[in-house]
Amino acid sequence: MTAHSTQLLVCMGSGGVGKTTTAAALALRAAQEGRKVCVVTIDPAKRLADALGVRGELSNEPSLVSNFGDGQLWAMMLDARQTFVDLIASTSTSAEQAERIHNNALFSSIARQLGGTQEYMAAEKLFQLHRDDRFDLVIVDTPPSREALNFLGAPNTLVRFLDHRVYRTFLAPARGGLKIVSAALTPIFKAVTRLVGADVITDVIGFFAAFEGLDQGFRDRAESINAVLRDRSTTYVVVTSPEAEPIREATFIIGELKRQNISLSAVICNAMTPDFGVATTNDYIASPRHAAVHQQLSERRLREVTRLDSLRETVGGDVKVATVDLMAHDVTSLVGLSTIASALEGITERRV
Amino acid sequence: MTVDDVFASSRTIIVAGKGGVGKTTVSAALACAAARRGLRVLFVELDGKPIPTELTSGDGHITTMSLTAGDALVDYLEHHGLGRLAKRFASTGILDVIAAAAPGLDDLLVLGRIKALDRASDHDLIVVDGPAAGHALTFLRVAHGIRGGIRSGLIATQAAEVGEFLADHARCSVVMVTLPATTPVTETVDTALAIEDEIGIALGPIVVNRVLPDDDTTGETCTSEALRRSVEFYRSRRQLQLESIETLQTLLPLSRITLPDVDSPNVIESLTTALLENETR
Repeated sequence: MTAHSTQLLVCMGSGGVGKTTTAAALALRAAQEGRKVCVVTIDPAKRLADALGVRGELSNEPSLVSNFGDGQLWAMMLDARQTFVDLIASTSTSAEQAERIHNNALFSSIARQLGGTQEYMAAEKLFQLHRDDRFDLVIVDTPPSREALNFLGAPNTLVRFLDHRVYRTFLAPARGGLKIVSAALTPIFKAVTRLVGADVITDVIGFFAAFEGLDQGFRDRAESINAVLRDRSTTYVVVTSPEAEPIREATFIIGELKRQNISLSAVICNAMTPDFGVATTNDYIASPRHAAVHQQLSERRLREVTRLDSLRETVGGDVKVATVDLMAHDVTSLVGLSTIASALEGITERRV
Repeated sequence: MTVDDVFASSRTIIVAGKGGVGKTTVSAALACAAARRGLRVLFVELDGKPIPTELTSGDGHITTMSLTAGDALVDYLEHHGLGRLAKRFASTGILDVIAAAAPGLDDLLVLGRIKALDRASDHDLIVVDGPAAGHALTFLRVAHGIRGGIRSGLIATQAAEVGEFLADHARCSVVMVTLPATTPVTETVDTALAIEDEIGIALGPIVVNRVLPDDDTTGETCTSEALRRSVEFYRSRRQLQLESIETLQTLLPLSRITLPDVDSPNVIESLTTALLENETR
């Protein structure tokens, strides 16, 4: 192992719960504490840039957002396609091979939209940043897929693809034309041609021919990435909001992490209805319309707290559950982000 | 325009929206509202999520269905004389393979099945709880996208037919669900414009979900700090909502249905009532 090792923090959770903002707030807090932090978002929206108060687009390479004494805050936005192209370029044995892969129609569509490519590239990027000695801490905001856990299986995406037995059957004729295609699969092969036309088959064969000899390289890399994702020092945080559906989703994710033996560091529940304090019966009688609003918000908070309590039970006592109150205004600057950050004490600390 | 006009405008309604906006709840409420108007409704769930029990324990006006790409493929093969191969397709995992070689194929098969359900005319209204997260556009774009990639074969024909179905305003429309907040509104506007311009699908009203009603406290005196603070908070949240609804209206001048913010176990029931009472603006 190299002397330098960057701590990784992975934020998981369903869509619309404020994951991107939370990742940014955690990064800001760690930077304010004097660490060199890079936050990675996969969201195509400009949310992170907005929250960080960065004008212009973030790119696929980290850029420095702000200095805090010794601390630094960096940010980048994952470009899955570009990361994939870079990965191919660095793994290929020759420029010609890289070129052949890039020009293949199937590769282009895989790099653009094969399910899991985003997660795969997020993991790849995280792995690159893990070895980048500019940073002490890298925080990644995972893609908002329903199965947020796809992220953990993502490093194997390409290997699985290259291993697929149907593909190997497709590829067989291309390797010298002597290998006999499995008889059992022939009718399927014909049916596929009837369904999607011969062009697709040609693209597939070209794709696998172009990858010839690279399997082992990708397999090794997937193993290294998996090791980093499952390392004890990598921190997992589940983000949720207090509504019923996100809480159910968070409960599911936490259960899956347990099943995969990955230890959860913290749960962050965003957008809690604030506590406005108690009012007397006289106050309620004196201002009935104000009272109606107060009552509505108090009841809502109570339901939220109840849901969160049941989540706490699932999580167990040793995991920190932090709550962040819903704010009266949108977070669009570092100052707003600081308010959130102040509620997130101790979450980015490195485990020993 | 009322919710009845929405039901009358096309037989199939595809409900689209990002994760967290309440898409499934709104889809379910639309189905319930239509059933209450006496329509025979088919509710189609695409993500393998559980179907809300409000729909399955109903009065028989609503039929529900979970539709996956695998089911759609088997169904498609059976209708095209390839039925004997259907099982083998499933067991060899070949769908993954073709889907990877022809991205969007799974979406296309699902839309093709919806098109077939629409043509069968067994129902007055088909409510499709659209795909999760940000995939609505990819999903709807597929008939165009796949025709670029697949130039021959049965699927090319299927893509052309699905394209016609989506563009036929009398058969199919898209109802987008959003929240009255900055990011969801921006994303909805972008997606809506792309749906109309690129794909030519008819957009029904935009459903703005979880809108806070007027607090109605103007002019009332209040000496309690707790009450005052809660009203202040409520008002500034509501003000944010009104601002983003205004942005939505400026950038996307379509009719709107606003639904109230409900946090209770019977959300679907409350939203159904709200839909039936609501005049779209």
